[in-house]
Amino acid sequence: MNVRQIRGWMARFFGMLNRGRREREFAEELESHLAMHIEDNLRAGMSPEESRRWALLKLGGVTLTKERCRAQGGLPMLETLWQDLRFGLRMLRKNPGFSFVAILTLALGIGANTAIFSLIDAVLLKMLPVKHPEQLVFLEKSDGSQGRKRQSDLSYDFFERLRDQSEALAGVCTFSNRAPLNVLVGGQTEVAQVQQVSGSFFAVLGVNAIMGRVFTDDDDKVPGGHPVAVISYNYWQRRFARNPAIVGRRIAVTGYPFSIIGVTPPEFFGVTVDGAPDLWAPLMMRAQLLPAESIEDYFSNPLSFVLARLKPKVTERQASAALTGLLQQSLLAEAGSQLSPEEQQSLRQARISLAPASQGLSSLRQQFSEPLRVLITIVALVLAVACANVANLLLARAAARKKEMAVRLALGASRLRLVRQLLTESVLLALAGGALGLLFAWWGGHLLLALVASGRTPVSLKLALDARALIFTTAVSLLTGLLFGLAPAWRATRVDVTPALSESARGSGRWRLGLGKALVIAQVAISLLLLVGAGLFVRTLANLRGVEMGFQPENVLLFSTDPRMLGYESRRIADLYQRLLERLKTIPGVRHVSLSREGLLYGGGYRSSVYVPGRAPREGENPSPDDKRFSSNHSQLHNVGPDYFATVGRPILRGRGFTEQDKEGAPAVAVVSETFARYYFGAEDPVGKRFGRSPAESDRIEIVGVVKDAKYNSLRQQMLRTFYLPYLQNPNSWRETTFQIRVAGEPKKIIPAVREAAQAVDPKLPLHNVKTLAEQIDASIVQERLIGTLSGFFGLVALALAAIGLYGLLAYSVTQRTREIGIRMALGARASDVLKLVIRQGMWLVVIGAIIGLIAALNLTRLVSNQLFGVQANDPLTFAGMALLLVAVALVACWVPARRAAKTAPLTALRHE
Amino acid sequence: MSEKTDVWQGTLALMVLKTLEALGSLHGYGIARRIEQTSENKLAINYGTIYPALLKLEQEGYIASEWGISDNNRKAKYYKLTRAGRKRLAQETQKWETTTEILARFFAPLEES
Repeated sequence: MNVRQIRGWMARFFGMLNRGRREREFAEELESHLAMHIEDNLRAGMSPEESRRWALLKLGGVTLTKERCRAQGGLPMLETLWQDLRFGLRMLRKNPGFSFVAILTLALGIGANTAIFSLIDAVLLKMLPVKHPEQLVFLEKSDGSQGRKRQSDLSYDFFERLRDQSEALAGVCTFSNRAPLNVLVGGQTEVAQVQQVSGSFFAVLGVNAIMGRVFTDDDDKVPGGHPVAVISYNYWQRRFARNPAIVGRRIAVTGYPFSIIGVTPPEFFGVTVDGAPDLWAPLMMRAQLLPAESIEDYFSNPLSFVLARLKPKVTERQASAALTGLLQQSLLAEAGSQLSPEEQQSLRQARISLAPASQGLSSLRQQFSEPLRVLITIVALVLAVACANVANLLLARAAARKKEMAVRLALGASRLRLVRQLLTESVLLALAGGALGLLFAWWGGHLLLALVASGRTPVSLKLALDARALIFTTAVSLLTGLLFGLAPAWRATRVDVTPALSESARGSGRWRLGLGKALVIAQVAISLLLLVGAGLFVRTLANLRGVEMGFQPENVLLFSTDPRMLGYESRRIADLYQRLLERLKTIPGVRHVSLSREGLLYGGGYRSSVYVPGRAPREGENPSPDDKRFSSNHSQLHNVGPDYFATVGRPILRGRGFTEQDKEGAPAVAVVSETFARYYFGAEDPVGKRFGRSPAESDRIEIVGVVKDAKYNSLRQQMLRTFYLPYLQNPNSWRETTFQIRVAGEPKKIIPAVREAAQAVDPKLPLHNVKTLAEQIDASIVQERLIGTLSGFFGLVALALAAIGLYGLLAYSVTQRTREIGIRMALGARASDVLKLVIRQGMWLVVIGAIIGLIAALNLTRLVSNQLFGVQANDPLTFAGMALLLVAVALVACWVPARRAAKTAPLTALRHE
Repeated sequence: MSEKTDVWQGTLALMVLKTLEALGSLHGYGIARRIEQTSENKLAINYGTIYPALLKLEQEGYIASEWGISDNNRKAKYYKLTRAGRKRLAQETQKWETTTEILARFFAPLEES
């Protein structure tokens, strides 16, 4: 019978649409029914009135019949919903002030949540935009005991074996990290991020080109034999202005000619969420792109990443087992037969572990996951405060609609029906708020990204307000609508009909106030919690910005480069740098130029052992509070160029800095920091003293200068004891070097000149990470900046909302109590007494709310203590300060209605109904 | 909706179908009248309840309607069975007869013993 039932429902659905015609037809049918019945009755001998009466009686009620047929003919549920919607819209239009305030409040709350959600989505949740990302896994060699490592540790031989077997894997590929390389296009050289991949890369990911084609295994067979490249959509847009003649275009990467064979789709960004390559090249072209490495070297070292796609029905465990077997075979084959029992044992322990790769790689994730968690909590709380405000508004309006409710109940509406209708109004409000909130989120989202993206490398995150954000917003809107609408709707319909309908229906709003007061207390408590949190975060940020850095960050330009990639070795590097430094010095406006192995505030650092003749390293003596491994026997080491200290603005306290004379062949020298000097030499002047980096050569290096302490790898870290060596005396095994240029004016102005200088020295040398030192500092504290700014903003928003809520409640209460106030004044109360009365009523709520908020804050701030700097989680100054701010704002919010109450003329008040 | 109403509506629908089978095409008033007659006035129904039942049957496709002229030259809406309606009637009649048969067996032996 199912088909019939479906037919029935469909007929009812369409019946909704032609209701008018249906009802007219039925009215005709009923008319003819009655006419026939009356005729029969007349024929049977009844009088005309009798006939008519009897016919009507037998029918059972014309209206009732019509109603039953109306219900059967359409879908009453949907029809009433449509009715409710239209009525709701009308009500909202009739009260524009209320609607505006409510929608705006909700938009703020919902918009904030959407913005933070889409940020979280982009950073933490999104899957790679490839085919079936859940089938992707990273393969790593482990011995079962360690946690997840970043490297795969698998050999290229093993990778080839994997490629050939097809049991558990539908495909496997490997890829390198991105490298910034020089790309020559149409006579202009720019730096692009290049990633080398095995031929199967795009096949494993399931990505096809939108123009031309992507790599296949045939593009990755012979070392140096495949000068082809695939570029990203973004790069095509940026560098080639989406020129349709892109396939076959010839370019040069690191001076070697390549031809572009394809462009990837716009949403594809590779495997790293925050590091999209511009260009992909086959692994076999490595020697051409990075002349420093021979292809044999690359293949003889363990691979960084091995990415595979599991076959559809294969589970991770099955794959892991199958691949482990393969690994063991391959290891045994490599090792041959001369294995000791221990070696055999460790071989047997080697396993392949799989890590899910559906979300790709991301350095942002770890950095931001905690701040984002804190942020989503904050905005959820702000939304709660906003909802409380709207709920209070609804409660107040419900009082005004009491008569309407009474009439409808008296006419026979069920309470459920009324509640449903009121809820529809609430949900409409919330959806409107959500729509506006999307707009807010759109604007806010751009700001957020700007904050987050000032990190080390330009972030290729897209905060798209896509379907997910839309669904999230709608869901949140619906929930908030139901949340703040339910209680007022319930209250509104609990109406005693008779007294309500009487003329002088005075609002006995006492019970309404109860719920309203509870809401305001909750708002105050949440606001205080958010304010305290904001206070702590803002102070952390201020502390970090104000911390003594030890150097002058203004007017310094930075850039990094790595000539090793082009095949330079140590002596030639030193030579190259010298030439570059000389050229840079000739740029007008440049005061000082220098370089260093590790850039300032990059989060890394080097350590070295220190041996001072005549001073035995003492065990367990004052280990650094930051790092237990940093015992008394170590110091931080920094390799820098000549004139470094003047370039970064560090005062030399004693002796001198480095010069060009401190090069290879000259006596080994060092400059030490204050802390170093104090630690190893006490109050004595360290200049002229000697130390070494190994016990055998403990007097090799002579100290020639002492500098003031400075921050090294992060602003949070203490200034540890550091010594500096001239790079000219140690130009080996440098990966990346950072240059610092102190400029007389705006550092960015000289960037073109800097690039020219680099080109003149070696046109293939890529410069990247070009930014000012001030920008670098900002980048190093990006989480704190994000959380500090946002928590401060939202804390104030919550405070404003709570103040508005308090004001609203008190204003309402004052109108309720007008008669009472009139009586009091008539009996002799002065204006100031009335003022105090009202203010006391309000502040009482604030005090209760504040106490609850303080207790909550005391317990909860503990959770974020690891993000603070220079301030404790239960810092009394912050707590007291925020509480005072809250009380001050609340006082103002109370004062306005109180003043109005105090100004009422007693006679008017007494006559007030 | 209570179960009782469902059962009643099902029974009413069956009576309507049976009436239409016997009389061919008829208007709502006629069907109601006829049902009352057939039950020998033991069933006193409100004529108004016929109409929702007729509507539902029409929505589900068991009967079809069209406007026509009654014997007294009055415009009236006539209903008649569709093929699906006939099939349904046959099925339901089967069911009823089986049910009655089974129940009858329960009542008969009790009398014997």
